[in-house]
Amino acid sequence: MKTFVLVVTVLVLGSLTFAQQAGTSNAKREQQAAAASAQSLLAHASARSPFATSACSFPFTSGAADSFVKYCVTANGNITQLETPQFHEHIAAGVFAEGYGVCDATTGVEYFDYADFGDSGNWGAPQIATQSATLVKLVRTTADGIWTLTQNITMVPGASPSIKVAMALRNNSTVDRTALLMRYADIDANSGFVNSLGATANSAFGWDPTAFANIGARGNFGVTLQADALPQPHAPDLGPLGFTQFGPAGPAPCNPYAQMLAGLNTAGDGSVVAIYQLAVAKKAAKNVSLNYKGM
Amino acid sequence: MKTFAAALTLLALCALSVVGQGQTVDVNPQPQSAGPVDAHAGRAAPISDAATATCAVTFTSGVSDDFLKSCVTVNGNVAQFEAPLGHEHIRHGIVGEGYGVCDVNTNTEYFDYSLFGDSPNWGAPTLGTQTATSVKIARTTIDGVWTLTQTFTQVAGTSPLVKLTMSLRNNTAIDRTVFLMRYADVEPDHLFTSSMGATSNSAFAFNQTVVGNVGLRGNFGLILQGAALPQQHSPDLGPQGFIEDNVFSDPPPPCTPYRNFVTGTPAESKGSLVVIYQLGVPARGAKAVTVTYRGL
Repeated sequence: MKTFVLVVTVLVLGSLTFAQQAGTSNAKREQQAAAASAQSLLAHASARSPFATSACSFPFTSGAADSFVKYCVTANGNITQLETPQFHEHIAAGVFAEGYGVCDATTGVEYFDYADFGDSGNWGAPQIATQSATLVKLVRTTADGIWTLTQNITMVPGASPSIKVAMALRNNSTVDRTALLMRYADIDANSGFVNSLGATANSAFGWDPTAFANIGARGNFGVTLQADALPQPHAPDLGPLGFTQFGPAGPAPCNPYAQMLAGLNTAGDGSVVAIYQLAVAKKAAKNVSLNYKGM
Repeated sequence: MKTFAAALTLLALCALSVVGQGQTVDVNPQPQSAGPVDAHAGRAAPISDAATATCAVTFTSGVSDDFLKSCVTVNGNVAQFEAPLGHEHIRHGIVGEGYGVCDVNTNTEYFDYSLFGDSPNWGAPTLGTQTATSVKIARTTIDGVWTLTQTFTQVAGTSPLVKLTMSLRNNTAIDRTVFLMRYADVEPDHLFTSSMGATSNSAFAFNQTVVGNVGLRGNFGLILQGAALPQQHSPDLGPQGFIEDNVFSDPPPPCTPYRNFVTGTPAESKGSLVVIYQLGVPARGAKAVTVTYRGL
């Protein structure tokens, strides 16, 4: 009888071990489902104008297999799909959210467009300036006429392809102004809502970490939003600074660090931001450029 | 008796499972004092008189935030990577960067990880073409089986990088399969402990942004990215990026490269980066891979 009890005990312990592994997998699935549901609810709660869209207006594709990149740009200049390498999507999962934010620090007025996570409702209609097989140039002026944002979004093909986003912010008014200009993306690496996230002063990134010690198992990828240095980084021109957020929604441009995550995030649905501060002289423009690149 | 034996077997299996979990947990212990760990790492692997971290060729480009200074040893190790200005990521503590080759046919290892050790079976390096932005270094194994030709190119720009092409030639009359890997003990911003991560393409270490202030640009990192192979099918496989936990204090043995493999995303860990390929190299033929080091 004692032996029988021992056998049963050992069997139960052994089963618990296997159950624990299966439980981890189930817990991950539940975590993903919860994050997907939370994204959806948050998107529905976001303010949006009739202009806000995640619909693909300008699709771009290059390369094949591991050098493949496919992305699309909305009429408003949001990148709402980013697939690299082939079959590994990083934005078009759940709520499609990517875009730009501007805070006029002189007046405290915010302007933003984050696609499915809403917009500020104070942008005019976008204009298509140039379009080619590798480039789209979109121009958009705020409804109050103070700012014009011109975006050149260019595909850079190659063994390690990328997307270059050049943003020129023009101050149309007759007074000098200071602005916070930011780029944001709700990264869902490998279509997973729960990613690893990290950031440095230059970049912010989300990824699906290497899980298996097997060179043939190439299934883990991610994307980095890397911001180029300013030509002359001194106040009032500052940045870039990359940071991560603990939620998937975009930052409030005049309170950009409200959702900032101070440290690594390995168990949540977050997002990435790169921010600049720019002094824009009256009737003049300042430029920044950023890159989305697979990792 | 049979039941007793079965119970013992099950108990052993269960114990193994628990031990396995214990090992997984032990992979990421509390960070130790970084200096001694790094010093220990430098002594853990065998090292020959040829191993060096002395800069033989130095490249510099850009200024301030576009600045990149890198250097290459006579043996083809990247012994310095400073980007942007004032932010060094490799040349800190004991320098560990380099290459490993496992000849799968014979299970012979060839590696040179700078001061983290080398195998004593490499011949003397030969300096090839050198320009203001590139240098080519060739090295043949003492047994004459392999020649590794490395071309280092510094690419200037707003996001500067070091492009490193490794061409591995099989000098023998039989087809061979190898593991070819690049390794770096990265200490971003001179930090012995940092955040790390890896994907199938890349491995990276970085000093995480923790302060919400656009004027505070003091934290950077380094990513080692492997370019895709032109034709991804067996026996040619990879790249795969992964991170190691240096609590085990040694770089990857080329024929058991995953010995110190860490899954997940350890924060504030003392680790290193690896990108690995598997290549089928025909007799008298060569295969090339390209990896890049870029600031994060």
